[in-house]
Amino acid sequence: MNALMEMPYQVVPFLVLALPLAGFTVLALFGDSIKRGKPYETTGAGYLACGTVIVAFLLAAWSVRSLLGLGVRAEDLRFAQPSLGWPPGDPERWPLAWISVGGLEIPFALLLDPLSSLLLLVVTGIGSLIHVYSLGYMAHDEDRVRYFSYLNLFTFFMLVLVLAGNLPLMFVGWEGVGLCSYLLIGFWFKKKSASDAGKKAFIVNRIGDAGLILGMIVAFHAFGTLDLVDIASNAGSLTPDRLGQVGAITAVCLLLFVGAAGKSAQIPLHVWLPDAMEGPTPVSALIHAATMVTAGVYMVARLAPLYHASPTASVVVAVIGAATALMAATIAMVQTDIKKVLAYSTVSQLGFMFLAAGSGAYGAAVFHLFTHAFFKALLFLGSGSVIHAMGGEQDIRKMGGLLKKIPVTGATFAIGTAAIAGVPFLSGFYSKEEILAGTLGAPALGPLLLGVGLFTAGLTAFYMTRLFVLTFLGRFRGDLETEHHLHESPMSMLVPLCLLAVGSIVTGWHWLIDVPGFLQPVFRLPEAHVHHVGWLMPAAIGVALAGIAVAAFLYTLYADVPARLKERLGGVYRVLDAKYGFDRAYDAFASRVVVGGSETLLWKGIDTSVIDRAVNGAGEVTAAVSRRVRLLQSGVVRGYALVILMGTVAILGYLMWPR
Amino acid sequence: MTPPVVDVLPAIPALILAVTGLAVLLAQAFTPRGQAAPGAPFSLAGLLAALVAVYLLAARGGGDLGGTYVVDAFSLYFHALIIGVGLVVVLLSPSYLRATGIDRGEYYTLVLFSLVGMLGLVSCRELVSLFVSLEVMSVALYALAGLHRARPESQEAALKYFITGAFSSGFLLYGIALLYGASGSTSLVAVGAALRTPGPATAALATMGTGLLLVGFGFKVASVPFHMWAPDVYEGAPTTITALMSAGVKAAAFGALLRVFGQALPALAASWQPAVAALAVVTMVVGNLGALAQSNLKRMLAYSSVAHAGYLLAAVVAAPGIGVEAVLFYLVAYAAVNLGGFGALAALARQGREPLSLDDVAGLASRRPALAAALAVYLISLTGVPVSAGFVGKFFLFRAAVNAGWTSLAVIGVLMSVVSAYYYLRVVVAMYMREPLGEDAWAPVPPSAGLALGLSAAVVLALGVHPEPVLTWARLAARSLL
Amino acid sequence: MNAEAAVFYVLAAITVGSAAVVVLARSLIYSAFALLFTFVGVAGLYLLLGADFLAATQLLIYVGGILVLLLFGVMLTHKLYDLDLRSEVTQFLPGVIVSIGLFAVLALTAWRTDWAGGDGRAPAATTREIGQLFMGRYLLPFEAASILLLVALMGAAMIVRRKRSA
Repeated sequence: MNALMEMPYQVVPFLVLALPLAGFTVLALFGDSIKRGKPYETTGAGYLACGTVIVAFLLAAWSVRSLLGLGVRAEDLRFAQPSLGWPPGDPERWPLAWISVGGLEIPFALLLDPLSSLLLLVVTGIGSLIHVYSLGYMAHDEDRVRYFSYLNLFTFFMLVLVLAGNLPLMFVGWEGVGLCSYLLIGFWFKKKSASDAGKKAFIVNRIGDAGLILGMIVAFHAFGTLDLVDIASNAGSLTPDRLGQVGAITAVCLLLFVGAAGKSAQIPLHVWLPDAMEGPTPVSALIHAATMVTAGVYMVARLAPLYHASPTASVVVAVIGAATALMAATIAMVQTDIKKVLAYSTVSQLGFMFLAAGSGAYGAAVFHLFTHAFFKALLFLGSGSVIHAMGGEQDIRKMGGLLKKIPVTGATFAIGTAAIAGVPFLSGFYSKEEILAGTLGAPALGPLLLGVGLFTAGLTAFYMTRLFVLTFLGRFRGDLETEHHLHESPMSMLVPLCLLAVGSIVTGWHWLIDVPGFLQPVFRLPEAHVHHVGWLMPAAIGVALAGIAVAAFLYTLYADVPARLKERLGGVYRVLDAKYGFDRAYDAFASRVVVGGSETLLWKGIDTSVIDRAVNGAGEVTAAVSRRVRLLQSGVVRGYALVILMGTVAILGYLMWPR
Repeated sequence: MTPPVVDVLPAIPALILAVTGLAVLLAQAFTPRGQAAPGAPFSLAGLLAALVAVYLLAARGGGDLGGTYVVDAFSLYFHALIIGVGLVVVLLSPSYLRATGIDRGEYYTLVLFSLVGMLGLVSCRELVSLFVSLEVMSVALYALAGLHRARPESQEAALKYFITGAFSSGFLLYGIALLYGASGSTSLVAVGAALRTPGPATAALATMGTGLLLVGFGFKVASVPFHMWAPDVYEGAPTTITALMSAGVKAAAFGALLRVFGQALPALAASWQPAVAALAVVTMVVGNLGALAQSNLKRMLAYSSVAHAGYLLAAVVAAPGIGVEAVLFYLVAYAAVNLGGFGALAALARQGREPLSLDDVAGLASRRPALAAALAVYLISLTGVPVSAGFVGKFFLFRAAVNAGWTSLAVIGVLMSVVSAYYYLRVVVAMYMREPLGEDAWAPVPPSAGLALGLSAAVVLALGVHPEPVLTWARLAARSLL
Repeated sequence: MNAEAAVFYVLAAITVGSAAVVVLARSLIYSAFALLFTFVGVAGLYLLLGADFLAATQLLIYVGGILVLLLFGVMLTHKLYDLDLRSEVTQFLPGVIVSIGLFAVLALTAWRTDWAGGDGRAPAATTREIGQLFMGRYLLPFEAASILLLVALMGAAMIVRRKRSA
């Protein structure tokens, strides 16, 4: 390979990273003056943000294209420090080590292979569309410069996450997207629910991060490296753990999965994602549907050889995924907020991806990640268009018959619904079929996982059809004034919808893009053992159509049935409506056990009774001398001395204990 | 008989600071009544001169003063850190002293003397000198803690700190005496050599002495259960002094702890390691849970300081070895963060008041965007989020614990860091996501304080992005201890 | 029991007994006077160990200086003179347990240690040697102690001045 041919994929990843970062820097530094300036300057800020991401997308597409053209093997494509050399081809110059001390070498290494390039295209491609959409959606928000700066920063960190060549660098991106997500959820922080939701997202994710950090430490301890390619290529030579055995590999996998579960909203860390819908809708589409929340799936797929070596961890991943998929789908059936339905649907689809990954079908997991990014972004942006038209109303009980009023939104939403429901020849059908076929390859419980997957697929078709019918068909159920104001969204919002609709149709077509085949070399696994069972495809089509049909009948022809069902099955309904009680349990734990416990035990027990009594008592005494004497009498300092003595006796007693 | 020749050159940085302190004191004496001598410029000049001296000493390769005071890579590292802390504190002080009406000449003298004590603490290779240094540092701080004569909390803080401090110094001194009894020497090297040859006759004395030293140092680093003074004293002391205590005292005490336990007591590691590990666990847990319950920012940061003592102790367990460099690195990260945190509160002080509650900092981001951003950086670093010094530092601390076979310590540490996100985050949320309450009661950030805060934030970010130079230096320093 | 041991036990009894009075006395003046005996007892113990310089210093500084100052302070401040030092009994049980624990640990240490006995001869005078060490090997702590004293003096001055201006 000559230097000129190498250039695209050696230099471009860094350029792709630099662009959104530059956009963010400009907007953050000059945001205030732009905001105070003329209106066209603010609009210009939006164009700048869009521009950086679109150019990044074009660059990424170029580099991926030349990558395909070169036909290089996946393991050649690691951009460790040497490739920072400039001019290209001079690998020894400008080595950029990030951390290098005590046997720990962490270069600022980027990794471009089929897996990360696919994600790179998703992030920049769908990111561009959502940036453009935001131009229209946020046109009337006075803080949109801040909004676009966050969006650019998010894109930068997401790209760091995707392109990172080692776990610590990935963690930087991981935390960065978390931070941006938190900022964007709480974007309208004057709403208390929004800032609470932001806080919740952050705290829940910290639990996941704890797993990730521990996983990294254990991984370094066990493998001596944190480089993703090294871990993946060495994993094959390690002795795999047997099922039920928890060795180093399993420990690393499980700890990292805690992190993945936090970011990708899996049981029991899923509670933040539905609340995250408080953010602006394009943010929900970009961060909480298409990109950030799939980071956990990406990481598991990235470490596929490692998970492959640990059947125990794989089964845990698959079972958690299946349970999450089922649970979220059932909750989605009773939600009445258009965005909440989509949020639970996202949780459920992420569960599907983990189900696939845990079953060893990593290609299927990433394939579904890819198709899901399109149709879920489409659905969210569509819902944004609906909310825009409805003047901020999100309750589907007050909608209906919108198809006639906003036909473009309605039509594209229909395509998205069909894609996620698994209607044949649309993208979601292919990727979901891949997943269902993959479940039989799970190290254990295969048939059960397949059953749950099929059933959940039916539920998916049901709740999505319900959503579509209630929103777009029938009679309008809102008030007259809203009906009067119903209007189709501007072009900047409709064009992305249409492009995404095309994507939702074609991305599953094998003859166009063979995603699993493209990814196969990355996973370094023996040829995928896909158990293609003859009856699977008809069954998948069957449950999808059945779900659609049942929902269509229930919510159009027999509209009184759902209400009666709700009455008859009151208990079930209440459980679903309360989302299985996760939030309440967490609140109870957090407020009673952690905060309450530390308040009563430490604050009231020691701090208030010992310390505050002295502080309060002190003010009443005037003369300095008598105050000092009184202070000694109050027992405070004696109390401290007693505790010190207790500690001393404990330590000395331990040391002197006869052994 | 010829008088012994003593090469005082290695003690030059400490001597410069001591002489500067005396100069400030004399300048105050010759200043008309009711006015304050220009203590800050004097002190800054002295500190910069000391920093230059440290640089020259490092270029000369350190030195040794009669075996009692040694300037090796380890103490040079701490010299730079402690003098840096002193610089930031002096930069923060003038505006704070004026705003709170405690602008008195002896303030700077006492600060400089306490820095002298800290320098001695990290450089003494002999237990008696070490103890004297410790007392120089502590007594100066007892007085400084009570400088706020108008606030009863301040006087209380001074008194509580003094009494409990004297109490714990007693344990330390007793420990030194027992070690002397066990080994026949107070030199760390000689003690280490004596304890390496096992002798059942004095084993009990040595073990007991070790335990008592642990208590004494445990008090100075504010480890549970010897931490009770910390919240009171941090709250009551003038905020700049709180910054000095949380950054400087902690660093110096950990330096002395590492030196004593690494050079004199490695032979007893098997018995003190579990004790240190137990201290680390209770310190991490009590510190973090205690911080959860605080509504006063200074108290919250005090408990956070307790919690961080726990994280650091977790790596001390892994000393001697990889733990030392982890502790050294984290001390720098931690000093920068705490100077910034307390410094930010001090910078806003006006007419004797300073922001102490979440309500006080609500909406700060819209009124003092730069200061709020810096404070957010410090808090994020305390939480341990990447691209901040705190993340890199914690990563090395916990890795050291794991490598030494104390995985459970790392697990507890990481879990407790998760808990800590809650209380650090509350402040960020208040600053960025709440509307300001009432009038803007706080002072505009004075330029010198702005410089100090900017420096701290820059250090935090620089160490997070490119920690390598400091890590390398910390490793050199750790090696010189062996 | 030889004479030396007898002297030791007498001195120890004086020291411990008077220290108990210091803590338990209800009036500050009794405490201060009892402290006199404690200091003297300790000085006697030093003498018994052959630490002549230390014993002299103990007498000169603690008995001659500090204690006298303390007594003057007590007698000149009528508030302190009349002050009833009785305080409520708090944390009695924990205090007892901790004290017993501490005693047990210390006793165990003393028990386990194989104490080196002296050779029976009176040690040589130590004053010259101490002086040389202070001017030589221990120059640094010696000088540092002067800073310590200065700092303590400043602290004390600040407390007094605060009282006047408060």
